[in-house]
Amino acid sequence: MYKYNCRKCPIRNRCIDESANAPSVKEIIRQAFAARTDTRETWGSLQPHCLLLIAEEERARTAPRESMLSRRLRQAREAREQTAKALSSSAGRKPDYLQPVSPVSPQVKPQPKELPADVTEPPAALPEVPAREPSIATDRASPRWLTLAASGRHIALPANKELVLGRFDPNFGVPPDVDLAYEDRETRTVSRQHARIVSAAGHHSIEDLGSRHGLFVNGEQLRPGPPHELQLGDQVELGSVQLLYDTIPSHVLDFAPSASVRHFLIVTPTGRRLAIAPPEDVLIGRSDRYVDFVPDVDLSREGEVAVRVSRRHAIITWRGRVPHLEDLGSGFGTRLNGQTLFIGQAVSLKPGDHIWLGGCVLAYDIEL
Amino acid sequence: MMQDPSVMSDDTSMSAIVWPADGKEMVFVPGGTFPMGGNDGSPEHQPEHQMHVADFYIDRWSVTNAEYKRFVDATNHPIPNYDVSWCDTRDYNWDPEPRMFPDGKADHPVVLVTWEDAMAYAAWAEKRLPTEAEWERAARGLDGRRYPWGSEFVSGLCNCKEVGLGGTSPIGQFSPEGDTPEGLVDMLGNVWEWTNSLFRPYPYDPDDGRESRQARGFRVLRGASWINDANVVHCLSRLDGDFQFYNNVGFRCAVSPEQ
Repeated sequence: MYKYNCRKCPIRNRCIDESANAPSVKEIIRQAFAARTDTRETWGSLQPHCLLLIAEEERARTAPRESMLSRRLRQAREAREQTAKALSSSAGRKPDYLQPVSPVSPQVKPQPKELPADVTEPPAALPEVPAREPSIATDRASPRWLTLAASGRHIALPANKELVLGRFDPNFGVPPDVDLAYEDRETRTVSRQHARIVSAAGHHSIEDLGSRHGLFVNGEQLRPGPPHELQLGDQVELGSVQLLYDTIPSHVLDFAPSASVRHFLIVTPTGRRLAIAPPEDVLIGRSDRYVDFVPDVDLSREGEVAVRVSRRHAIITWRGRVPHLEDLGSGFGTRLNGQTLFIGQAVSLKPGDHIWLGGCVLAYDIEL
Repeated sequence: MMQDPSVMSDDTSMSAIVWPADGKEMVFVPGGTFPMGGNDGSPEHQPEHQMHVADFYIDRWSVTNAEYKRFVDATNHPIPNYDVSWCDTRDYNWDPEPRMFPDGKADHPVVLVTWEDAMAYAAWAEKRLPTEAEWERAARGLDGRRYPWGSEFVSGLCNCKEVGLGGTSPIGQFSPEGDTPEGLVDMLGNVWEWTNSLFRPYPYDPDDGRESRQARGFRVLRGASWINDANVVHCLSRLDGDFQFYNNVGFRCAVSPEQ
């Protein structure tokens, strides 16, 4: 009787190699297994030097007393009947992933990714950012924002708050304040909680939240540690999504609330752009066909990213042609740039603001 | 009494082996065709589709702290010790001075390990990580049950939120009731387990590049953990590991029989 089944042994070839047989015999044994014509003599020629048995003996010698773990499992094993096994043949060449892992250096860590050649010229891909004046650029007190290279979307940064950038997954994890899933839809490199921006007195620092694909500033990966303070013109990359840390142009900052300004909302998970205009109030929510209710901005069209949006979630009203946002007692709440709104609190919107509605994020912006 | 192995049925020899390189018990999982995924619940694991996997061996339980210690001692691999804002590592950080796991957690699965750590362990142990399909075959069986023990969720058969331990548990705490028929321990609950597969939509196709080890992307985690509740704790759940490590993520390894 044999303890181990040579036919399905994962290290059979090693046993054959290390056995005392002549090379020609080893070859015959190997061919017998390949053709499934192995007999008890074939097994018998290997089992005296069975590597599995040797390893077992070795383990019994070095660990004479049974550990709690193996005792618990042995009792479980003894209590259970041996289950019938079906040997199924598997033909064909082994795919790569069925090979053992090739020895890698133990300190393998994610390599900083290679940057595309064009990232050194960010302004070319940023249609919304006009050429900035040097006097503004050197002024530390001037307000900053982030601009997404791919879509030109702006991300306003709060004065004294934290802002989490990431990807909204309705099924797992905590929804971020700014959702980059749409910009990352082709590459899938942004983590749910990817980076955090900490604002203090007009200065902004950024830190990696343990993302799989890393956080890069000017092509250099940020290591765990104190947050990195952003400098004007820094090129920030979350996975493959590129952002530029830049000054808000003065004409955007002090835009006159005139009729020529076009206001719009971007549903960030899907990239849908919605024009809004004074003086009409904009009710944001989710339609409900059972009560025949459709809000002005219906987020149920966006699919499962809107699962936590309430039917009447929030409203945008106009005061002197400036939009104001108010939560309408939604179930999961409304946040503006990471700050939760109280019920009845109306706050003015500025370009680049991100409105968080139970995880589904809308961006507000203007065109002059 | 001697028998001819060529006509011997398989159950005359044990289906569990002790792997020489790391001394872990491994269980033989016969290949076959099984229903992968499902047609209800999260869209991530839809639709159900038939999947064939070949024979393989898989670790009976996920790699424990004591077992991981043998690996870091042998290779001088960095130990799991982090101080980060986004993950509570207090109960799981190893002591850097003697390079030792936390007190009393020798039999607990190792956590705070990255996918690269898991691959390095597998390379040292001359194994590999299981594919997503192999993991699901091992947990669900060829009959496609939803839980290792059957088709219904039973609280108290695995370490999930309903049990309320609030952390990892020693291997075998829920044995044998929570084991699979092959005797695999803690497939469900306790810790999520890294697989070799990239997270891509179903249907699963092993040849579409999702098993590439070089490609960038999130690796699939299976098996749910002590944090998750019954909505997530079942053998169909897939999670894309979009973080480096977490306090509820470990791994177990697999090998293929020689052809």
